[in-house]
Amino acid sequence: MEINLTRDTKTMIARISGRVDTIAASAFQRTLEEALDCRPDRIIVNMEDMAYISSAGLRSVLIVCRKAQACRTTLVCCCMNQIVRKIFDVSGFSRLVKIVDTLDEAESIVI
Amino acid sequence: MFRNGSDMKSPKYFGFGITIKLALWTLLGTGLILAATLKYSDFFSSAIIISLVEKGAINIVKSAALQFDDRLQSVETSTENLAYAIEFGKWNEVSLLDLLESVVKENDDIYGATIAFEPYSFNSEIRSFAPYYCKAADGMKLVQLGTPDYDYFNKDWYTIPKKTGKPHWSSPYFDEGGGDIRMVTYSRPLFRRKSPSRGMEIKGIVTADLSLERLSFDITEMFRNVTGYAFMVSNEGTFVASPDAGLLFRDTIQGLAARSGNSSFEKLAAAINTEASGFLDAGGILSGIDSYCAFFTIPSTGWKLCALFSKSELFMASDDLQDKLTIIAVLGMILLIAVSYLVALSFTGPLMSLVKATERIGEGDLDSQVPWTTRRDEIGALASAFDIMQKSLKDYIEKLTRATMEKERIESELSIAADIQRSMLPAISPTLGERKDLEVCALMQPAREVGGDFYDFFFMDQDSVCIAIGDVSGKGVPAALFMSVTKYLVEATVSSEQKLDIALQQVNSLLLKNNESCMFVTIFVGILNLKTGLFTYANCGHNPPLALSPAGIAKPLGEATGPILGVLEKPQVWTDSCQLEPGAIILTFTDGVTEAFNSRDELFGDDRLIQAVSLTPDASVSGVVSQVMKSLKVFCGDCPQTDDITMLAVKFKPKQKAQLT
Repeated sequence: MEINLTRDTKTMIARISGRVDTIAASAFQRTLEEALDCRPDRIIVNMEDMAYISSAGLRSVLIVCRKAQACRTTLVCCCMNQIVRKIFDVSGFSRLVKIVDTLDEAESIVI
Repeated sequence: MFRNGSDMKSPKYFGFGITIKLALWTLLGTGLILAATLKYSDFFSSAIIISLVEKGAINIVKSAALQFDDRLQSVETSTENLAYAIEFGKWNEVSLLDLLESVVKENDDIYGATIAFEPYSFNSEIRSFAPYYCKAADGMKLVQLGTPDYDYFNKDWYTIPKKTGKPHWSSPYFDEGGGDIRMVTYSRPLFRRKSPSRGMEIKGIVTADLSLERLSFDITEMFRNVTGYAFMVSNEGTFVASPDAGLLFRDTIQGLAARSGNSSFEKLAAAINTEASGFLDAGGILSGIDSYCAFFTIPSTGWKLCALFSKSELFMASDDLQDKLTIIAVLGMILLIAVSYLVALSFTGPLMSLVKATERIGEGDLDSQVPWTTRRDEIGALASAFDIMQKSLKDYIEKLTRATMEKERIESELSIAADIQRSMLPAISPTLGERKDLEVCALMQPAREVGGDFYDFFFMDQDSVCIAIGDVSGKGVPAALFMSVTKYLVEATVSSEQKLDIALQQVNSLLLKNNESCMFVTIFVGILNLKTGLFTYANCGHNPPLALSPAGIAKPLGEATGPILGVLEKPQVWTDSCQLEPGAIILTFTDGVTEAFNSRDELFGDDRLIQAVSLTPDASVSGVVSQVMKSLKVFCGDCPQTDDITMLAVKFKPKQKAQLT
């Protein structure tokens, strides 16, 4: 798994590529927590290249999500492939996290 | 942890050690420098010595030649005086003989002398008159030369000065019948004025003889303490003085040179013949010793006085110096080797003791004192580094020992925890004892000692059986703790009095309470009515189980009917149901099955799972489970198990088919 962080004035974009499995989950969680420490208004998690997310990865998403709520940062996931989208849907995470189809859509969300 | 000492190979160096190397290189370097210095000094000192020796040798020969010339001149002077006396005096035979005897007696160098008159010029009645006095072995001897045996008118000493009218030194000759020795003769004409108008006429010849034997002896004596070998050659090159009597008067130096074939000596002979003085290599001829020859011309006669100077004697001083220098150099080198050996030893000694100390460390002795740590040089630095390494190793090993003990403690606790976890799950035998209408098989294989998966199986009443399978997020101890909570919550809430969806919502709210660590669980709960075959289930984010028809056709049992538990405040959970055919199997499993990896990072996946269980019609539950495990093993190969694998299979076997309708 690789995470590529980019940032403009108020938005931070984390582009995840590869598999977020048990081993990668802690790095994934730590990176996003550190990104949250920078207090951006919005974090967009671009999952375009994310192949798979395990239950440990989901747990990291849950923890980051809770922290984002505490920081009043909007967390948006976008560009999920079908496998990941299904995992999010089945697990009920679709209702927990804001999910949009494209990056433009994610960026156009009014904070 | 450590191999014992006997196993360990001591580090050994091969070839020469530093000590020997340093000594050898020092020897080589200084040896070359010293040899070059000695050679250089030898070369230049030789050149200087030769030029000095040349001057000195020529000077010696020159002074001897001049000294000798003085003697010749005194002979000449005596002869001149005799001639004057005769020319200007009135002499009778007796007084003339007295005069002649006194001249020979008084001049030490004169061997003999004569006054030889022209025919009938002393006495008109006597044709030849030539009284000759000489120093014979038995005293003064008078010989009358004008005899038929000794016709002096034909002798060179007489004819040449008579012809030229000038004094003359003869060549060496043996005066047979006169002096009877080898000699050279100085001859001077006696003049008489005929008349004032007619000039002078020659009245006779006055001579003085020089003994060549004496000459040879004198020259040899003169050079005895100088070179030991001196000789003299005449203008023609004939040896007139030589320690080698065989050469005297018989040989010329040119002839000797030509016979010797020695190029150095040939050059010398040529130089003696043509040059006034010189200093040349004699090529080992004459004396038989490798020598230089210095020669100088005697002014009066033009003869060459030659002396040989032995090279070894000439260069004795410089050779001696060279020898001493060589000895000093050799001694110096030995000293240098000794010093470099000691210096090298002062490094290699501590190094070897460090090697021993390191060997001890290698054998596991971490308490031994590393030597030389107080030295303030590179060896000290090395020793300190070893010392630090030894202390670090000791610390590290202590930590490791503690960590190992800690690990063992945790392992033993985990092993107990694993036992507890296993005992929490219902033990299921495939036949369930008395029940003929149901087959159950369960398997849980945690990825670590304890796992986050669970399954459950219990009868709610006589005809209803509840099966549950769950997967807590994560693995290991945290997941196991959460799993045990979830399992008991499910068991406590699911009952025949309560709808399944409500029960799961209750479980969710209970899990959400104090869930600081954000754990969650996917869960599938199903209730099978053994009379009707109706299977009611709720699926909270769990993998859909497979339903296998008696013919062996497998298909997933619908989608999820609710979100995972432990995340959302108010999850929407609903129930679904399906009708099972007799002999149908419900196979529930966790994602440890479908998400097992092989070495190419491929997932086992739903399709492979379906393929694995679809093969046999009317299979037993244990057959299905073992078939899945077998396929997993083939698929994963040597790849380690990354997630807990749990399966629970139930086969519906009603007693009478009639009951189903």
